[in-house]
Amino acid sequence: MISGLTPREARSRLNLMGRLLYDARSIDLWKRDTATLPRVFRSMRRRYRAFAQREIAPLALQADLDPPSVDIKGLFLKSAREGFQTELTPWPIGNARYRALFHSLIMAPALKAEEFCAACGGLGLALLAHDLGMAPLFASGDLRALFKWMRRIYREIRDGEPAIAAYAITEPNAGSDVEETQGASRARISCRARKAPGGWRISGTKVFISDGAVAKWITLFAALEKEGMESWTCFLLDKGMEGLSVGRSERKMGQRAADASELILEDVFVPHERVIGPLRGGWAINRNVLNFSRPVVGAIALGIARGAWERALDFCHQTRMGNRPLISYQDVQLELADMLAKIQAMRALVWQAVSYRVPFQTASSITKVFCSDTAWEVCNQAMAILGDHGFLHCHGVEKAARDARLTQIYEGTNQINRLAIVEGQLGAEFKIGDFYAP
Amino acid sequence: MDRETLDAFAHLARTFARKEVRNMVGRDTRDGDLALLPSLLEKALETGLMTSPDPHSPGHELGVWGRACLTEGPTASLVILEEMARECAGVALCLHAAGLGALELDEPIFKRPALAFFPRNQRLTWEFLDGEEEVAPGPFTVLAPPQWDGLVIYRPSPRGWTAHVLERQEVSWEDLTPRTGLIASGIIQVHSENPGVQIPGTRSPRVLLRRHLLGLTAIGVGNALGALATAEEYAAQRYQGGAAIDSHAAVRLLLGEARAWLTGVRNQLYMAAQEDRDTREALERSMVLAVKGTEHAWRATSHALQVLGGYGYMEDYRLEKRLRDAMTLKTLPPSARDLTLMLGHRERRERT
Repeated sequence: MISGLTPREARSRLNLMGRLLYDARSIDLWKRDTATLPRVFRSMRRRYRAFAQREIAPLALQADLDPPSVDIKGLFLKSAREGFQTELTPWPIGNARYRALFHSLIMAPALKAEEFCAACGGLGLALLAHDLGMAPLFASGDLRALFKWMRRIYREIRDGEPAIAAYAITEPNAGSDVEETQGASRARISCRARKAPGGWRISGTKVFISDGAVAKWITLFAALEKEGMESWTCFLLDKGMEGLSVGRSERKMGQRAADASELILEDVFVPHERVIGPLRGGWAINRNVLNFSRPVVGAIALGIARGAWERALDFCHQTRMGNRPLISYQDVQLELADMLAKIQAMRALVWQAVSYRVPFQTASSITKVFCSDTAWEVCNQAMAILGDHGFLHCHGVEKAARDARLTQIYEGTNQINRLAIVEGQLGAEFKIGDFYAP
Repeated sequence: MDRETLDAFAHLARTFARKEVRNMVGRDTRDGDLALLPSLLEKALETGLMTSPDPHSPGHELGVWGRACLTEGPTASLVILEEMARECAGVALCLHAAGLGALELDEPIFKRPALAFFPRNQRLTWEFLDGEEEVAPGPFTVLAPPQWDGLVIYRPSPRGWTAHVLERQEVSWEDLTPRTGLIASGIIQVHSENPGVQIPGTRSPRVLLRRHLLGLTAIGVGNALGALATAEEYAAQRYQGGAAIDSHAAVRLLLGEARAWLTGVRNQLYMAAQEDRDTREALERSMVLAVKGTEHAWRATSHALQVLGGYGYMEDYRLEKRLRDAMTLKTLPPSARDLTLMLGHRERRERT
């Protein structure tokens, strides 16, 4: 009966050439996808996954239920010992591989984000937010920032200090405004830098700062006195500075293991040497950091969705419904297949976005929007597959759904990112004469 | 039931919800001050919003799924559930669970019974609903009112469904926690080898299922409408880009889409509730509502949260709680997939 042949049985009927052209091996998609990567990334992807399964996954549920009970700094140092927290730049500053950077500037963070967040979105973010905090030093193109500050911070980390960095842009009255051109021109900015002998004095408040409470270093953006967002300048602060304090830590729906805190600045003195990039260069640095980080957010969403899918698949294997394994039901298979197809599309988009020589606004925002929206859908599908187990914390699927929801909000809401997609292609696809008109 | 009476119900429920439920939910904890819940439910019982099997109880007739819902239709119960859920979906689910448990008991054997109808390891099918399928061994998922004291279990028999009662101490059970949301309500897993004592006058499971599905939809709609009200208020006050955020098309689209979904579902819900006979068509309509209504309510809640951006994701505005509640509501039994499969089983539908 030919109709009953499995793909492998069917393949065996072909001659050698036919068999070589027909791949019916039982290899999971993760391995197949890994094999398509350049050699340097294959080993990195395996190492990220091994670390995530060994160090992150066992903490995931506890970290969500009781975030303070997990030692984030300890986890950061374990990750640092693997070299994962100092790999934005190559030797002599960091430990990124030249071969990797030659292929892609952000493939490594994207691979790391997927693997870490497949284990836990919150702990993954807590580790990844450090790269975001360091990104302005790199994206500013300021060699002094690289060789003086980035090298110093990376050295501290290699010496065993949890020198975590945080990225501070959002303000209480300027959330989406700091992510978009038109909003920025009319934003109500509260964080301002006033010129002082030997440097700048900064006052104001930043909110929702990932790793804000645990970070030692903060790349912070402030407008110059009596000027608007176009004067934004990037400063490197450290927690030892007088007048800098941590306000409340937010209580969130998901990604609870990752701290999001308020930073309060009361006349904080920042010397000239801590200005990153040129004065009034902050807006450009911020926009470009978002170009670098949004594909990584897409990868975070991808990881969270993959984690939910893997847990749902496990559940379907282990659970019997009406004396049959749940996985044997056709409708369940259809749902799982639909989810996997979406996940595969997300990964294809992320890998395509990071393959551009330099990340740019349109591709980055498309990746972020598509992946975060899709992850939210996939996680909710996973919850539905589990039926009345779906809402139980112990399975980790509902947690993934809560975690995924944040990816539609941070690094610019998906609405702002959609506008960014259009703005990014204004000179090409979208020729709108008065796009920037008030 | 005439419009005036329904308005009076809605007013009573709204006043109670704003005074009592809002006070409980508004406390500085993730899901409200649950220590206040027993006294709140006691007041709901005294006010007649919550049903009890005791014929002398104020809500016995007209509380949520009181006796009147069998003769007058489910509208009054849905109005109460929607109003309650505008403040807290978990509290609304408590009233829903108490009402369904009490509906089966013609004698006040228990003060606060829970209804066990959904075996955890079994899919809902027309065959199961007709009592033609064995109930798979294993636990039941039960929506239980707080301080439940007895259980009504449905079992199929050659003569159709029969109901059996068990004291709380006769069954082993566990709270299904920690979970996503609906923390105020009791969602438990019950296991019993003991068949219990059969009671006369079992209502058709279809009667109960229809009310259950309509109730879940009403709670979902109420919860989402509460979320939408918060989002609209926020959007009118919050400035972004030099203007109130509700002047931005992106925000208007979110709010408008949410309102369109909710208006559609709500209209369908109350139209479905007009059907006072428990026909197969009425049950199917409630199934359609449960499948699409809870999903649209969940999407609308998610849109409302998005309007607030980062603030929506934090606990402060309670929108994250509403979204957690909507996510949980959507996964309560019976699953949308089972209902969809039943709706697609045309031959079977025609036979029945």
